[in-house]
Amino acid sequence: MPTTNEQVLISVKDEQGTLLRPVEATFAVEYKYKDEATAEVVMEGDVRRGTVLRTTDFPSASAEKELEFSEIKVTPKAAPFEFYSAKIRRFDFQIPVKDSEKAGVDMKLDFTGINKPNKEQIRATLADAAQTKLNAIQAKAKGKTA
Amino acid sequence: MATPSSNEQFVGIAPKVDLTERGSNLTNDKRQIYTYAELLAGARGATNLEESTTTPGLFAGVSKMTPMTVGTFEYDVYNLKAIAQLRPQASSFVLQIGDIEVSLGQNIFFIANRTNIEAVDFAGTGGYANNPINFGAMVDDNTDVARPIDTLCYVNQDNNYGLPPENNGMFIVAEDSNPFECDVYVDMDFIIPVGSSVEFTIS
Repeated sequence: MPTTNEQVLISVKDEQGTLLRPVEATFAVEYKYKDEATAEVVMEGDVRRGTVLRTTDFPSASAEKELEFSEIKVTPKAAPFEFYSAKIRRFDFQIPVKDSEKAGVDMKLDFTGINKPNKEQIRATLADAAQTKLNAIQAKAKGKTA
Repeated sequence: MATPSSNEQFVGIAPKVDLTERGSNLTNDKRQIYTYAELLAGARGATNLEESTTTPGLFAGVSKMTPMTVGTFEYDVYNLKAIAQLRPQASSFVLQIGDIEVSLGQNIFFIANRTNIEAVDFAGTGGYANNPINFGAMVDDNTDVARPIDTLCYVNQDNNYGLPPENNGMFIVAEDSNPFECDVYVDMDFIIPVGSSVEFTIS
């Protein structure tokens, strides 16, 4: 939830529009000016609980240069967040445009896991996840005693 | 005795009397009938637990309860119950209860957790130790003496475990410095916007 002086700049959702609160990711906002070889990173950091909150808006483009495009890149971190692919949204000739004031720029990531799973797929995925979690807590415990 | 909420009506007769039931013509597609037994017993939550075919000793089920209103929002309330055994004894367990799949775009929020951990204490103070699931809940081992669990003991809800975010995997997580065992009686309530679908798949 944004505090009183914060606003949502970016929301990270799935293709159906569900806010992906558990998915940890990094983001970068880049401005590419005409006749410049590389884009300039104007903002970057972590996506926390599905949103990027800031007290300031996306920075203005340089008045002296011609903006070719701006891009927002969202990249999910490694396991267990690998079920979504990275995404880039490009805005030609302008800085990022929010889809709404409430959600900022919607970044809808493609889901790479099993869509519309049947009962057997659900049970198999539950079993895999339980084993992954068990390995994680055992590794953590081992680290404490090592 | 349970009371129907203000936006619902009681349709019923008397216990042990099998009269003809006539429905009101003021019904709509949201009509759900309370049975007299439910009202009399104040029945709340899942009462029919399915047996897992893959996890020995696991029984679980989800049932709809009386809706609740939070400000201007209406929520359906559901109850998850499960009975599980954490054994044979080990230092860590992650037991998959099942999956709660909800309507597209919806999240569930757990609002109550009455989960009980039961351990034997025959060679300690005698009998059984029953206490809420948490760090410090009493568990036992081959000595039949109950002791507090010293690392992890909770129910995990995960909607990012390899299936779409509408699928909520439910797991019991428990860990101690030494091997232990116990029984777990899961009893938790969750809410979701009224009218959303909820489907439970036992592990």
